[in-house]
Amino acid sequence: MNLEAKAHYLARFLLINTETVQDNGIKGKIPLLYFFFKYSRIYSKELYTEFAFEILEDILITELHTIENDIEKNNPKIAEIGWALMQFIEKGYFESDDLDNILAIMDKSVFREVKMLNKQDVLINHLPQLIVLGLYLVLRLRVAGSEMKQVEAKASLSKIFVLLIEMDLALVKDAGLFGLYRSFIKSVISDKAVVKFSKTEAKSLNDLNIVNNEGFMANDHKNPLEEQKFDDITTNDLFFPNLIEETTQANQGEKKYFQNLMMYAIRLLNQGLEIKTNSNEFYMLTFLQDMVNHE
Amino acid sequence: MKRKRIFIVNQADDSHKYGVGKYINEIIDQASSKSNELELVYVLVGVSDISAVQHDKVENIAYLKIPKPCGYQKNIRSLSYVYSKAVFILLHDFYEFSETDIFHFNSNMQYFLIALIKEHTRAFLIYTVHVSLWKVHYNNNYSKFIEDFTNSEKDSFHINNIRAEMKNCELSNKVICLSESMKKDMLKVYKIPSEKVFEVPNGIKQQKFTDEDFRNIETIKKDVLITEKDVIFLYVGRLTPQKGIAQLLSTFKDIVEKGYENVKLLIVGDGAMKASLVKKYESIKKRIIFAGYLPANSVKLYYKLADALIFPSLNEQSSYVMLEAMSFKVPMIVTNTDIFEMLEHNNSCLKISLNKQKELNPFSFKKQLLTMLKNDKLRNEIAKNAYRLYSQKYSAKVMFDSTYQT
Repeated sequence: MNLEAKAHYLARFLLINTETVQDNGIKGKIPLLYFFFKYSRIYSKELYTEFAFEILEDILITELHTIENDIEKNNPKIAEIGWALMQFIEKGYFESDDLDNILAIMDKSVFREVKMLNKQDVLINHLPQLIVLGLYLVLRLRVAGSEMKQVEAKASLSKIFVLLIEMDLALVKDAGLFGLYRSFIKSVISDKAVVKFSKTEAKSLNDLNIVNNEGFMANDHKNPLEEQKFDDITTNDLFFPNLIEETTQANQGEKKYFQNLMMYAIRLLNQGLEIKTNSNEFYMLTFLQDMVNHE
Repeated sequence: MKRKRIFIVNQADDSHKYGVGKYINEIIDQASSKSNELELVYVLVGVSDISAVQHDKVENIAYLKIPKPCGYQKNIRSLSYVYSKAVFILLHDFYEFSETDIFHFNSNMQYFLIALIKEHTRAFLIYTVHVSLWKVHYNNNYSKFIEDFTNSEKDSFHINNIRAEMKNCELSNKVICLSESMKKDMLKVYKIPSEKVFEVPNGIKQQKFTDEDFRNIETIKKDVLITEKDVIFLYVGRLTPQKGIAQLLSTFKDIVEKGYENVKLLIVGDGAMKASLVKKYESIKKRIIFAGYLPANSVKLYYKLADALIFPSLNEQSSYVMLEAMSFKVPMIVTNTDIFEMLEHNNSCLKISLNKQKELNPFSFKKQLLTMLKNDKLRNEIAKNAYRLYSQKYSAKVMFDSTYQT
C-alpha cells in the first residue's frame, strides 16, 4: 500500500471510529480533527473539513458549557482546545466570527488556572501542562480581539514563563520536551513587553543573557526531532497492519491505540518521521510539535 | 441515457438475518437480471469482523460494507448522527450522486442518514416499513399506543422509536407498506400524504431443488429420524414471544400426550426464548427438533420435508415465511388477524382465532393443528390454492417493479 492509499484507508478508519474517541483534548479528538483538516486540504475532500468542524463545534459547546456552569472548576482541556482552535484558524482550515467571544470565555478559565499555580507546587511533571498554557497565551496575544484582557493575559504568560525558566530542566528525562520548551521560550522572548513584565517577577530574568544566548539554546535545548534519525515507519509495510489490528482489537476506552494511530496518521500526511511510542505524554508532545512546526 | 442507480441501505443486525435480509436479497436478485437498465449498490452498515470499508462489484451489483466502530461489542441499533455522517462521507468518497439516484432505506434506526441524504443530494428517497412498531411495542394495544402517541410530553424509547419512523416517512419521497393495514396506519396515524404511500407486498422468487438438495434432505431425515409414516409440522422464524412459538409448543405437546404417535415438529430459527423452550420440552425432545438458525438454501430443505407450516405469529408484514410456504406448496396454519388478510380460512390456509385480549385461542389452535394432522386431502387443497395465489400476486418481479416505479 502506498502512502496515499494508506492516508485514505486511515481517513476512513478514523471517520468510522470518531465516536470511539472520547477525550475532547489534545490526547483525543483534537489530533483527530487536525488529521481530518489536513487530509481534507491535501486530497480536496471538503466533507472531511465539514465533519471535523461539526465535531469541533460539539467540543466547544460541551466544554464552554462546563466553564459557564462552574467557573471555579479547573478544566485543563480548555487551554488545549483553545490553542488548537487558534492553530486551526491560523492554518486557514476555517474562519470564525465568534472566535474573540469564544476565547474571552476560555481566557477566564486559563487565567484562573494560571493564577492557581505557585512555584512550590509546580513539579517537573507539570511541564507539558505549563507549555500548553503558555502556547495558548502566546497565540492568544497574537490573535487578540477587543474582548481580550491584555494585561491579565501578559501577566499570566509572564508567570508561566518565569515558572518554566526557573524549573530545573536537568530533571527532564524526556528529550522531546526540550524542543517544545525551546519553541515556547523563543516565542516569548521575541515579545519584549512580556519579558519586561516578567523581569519584575523573576530574579533569573535579570540576566537575560541566559535566554538570549543562542548558543545556550542551540546546544542545551536541542530539539531531538530535528536531528535524531528515526526509522520512517510510514513506509514500513509491517507496522501499518499491526497498528490497525491493535486498534481494532482494543476495547473501547483503550486510548493508547487510537493515540498511536492518530499520530501515525498525522505523520503520514507529512510523509515525515514517526516515533513508535505508547507514552501518552510523548504522544502529546510529538503532536504539539507537529502542529507548531508544520505548514 | 444514464442507468438508474439504486442504493439499498441496511444494517448488519438480526433483521438482516431474517425478513429484511430476505427482502433485500430478492431485490438484489431481480436487479442482477436488469444489468442494462440499472445498477444497484448494497450498502450494509455496522458490519462486525471487518476493520476497513469493503467495496466490491459483480457486474451491475456493488457491495459497500461499512464496519461498526471498534470496541462496540454488540450490533449497532440506532445510527448516531456522527456515525451517519461518517457513512454519508464514505458514500460520497465512492460515488458522485446524481438526481437519477434512488436511496432505499429499510430501518427505522437510520433517521440521521436519511436526513443527510435528503439534505445533500437530489436523490429519490424510498422508505420501506417492515414492521408495525406500535404492534410490537404496544402488544397490539392500539388505544394505549394512541394515548401515548398523541401525548407530546410522552418520552419513552418505544414512542421515540415510532416518532423516528414517522420522520423517516416524512423525509422520504415514497413510503412502501407491505400490507394494507400498514398503509392505513401510515395515512391515519402518521398522516403521511396518500400520494406517496404505496402498498407493495413482499415478493419471492421460486427456488428450485437440485440433486444435491434431495441428497441433503435424505440426510436430514436420517439425522432427525423421520419415517414415511410421520407427519411433519414446521415452524420457521425467530423464537420471540410475538411469534406465538410458546403457544405452538404447548399445543403440540398436548397433541403428543393425547397419543398421536407419528407427528414431529421441526423448528428452524433462533432467538432469546430458545434455551428455555429446549429445557421445558426436554421430555418430548424426540418429537420437537430445534434446528437453529439456517441459511436460506438450507431452510428450503426443511420446507420440502414439511407436511404443514405452523406460523402462529401475531405481528408480521407480508411475511416471507408465509410466502416461502406458499411457493413451496406447504399448507399453513396462521393467525386470524389482518396480517394474514390475503389468505382465506379453509381455502388457502387454516386460521387460529384470537380471544378478546387478542391472544391465540388455545382451543382453536389445537383444533386447527388436529385438522391439519388428520386431513391430508385438505392439506393438498390448501397448498394448491395458496400456490396459485403466490403465482398471481407475490412474485419478486412484481415487488421489484412496483417498488422502483418512480
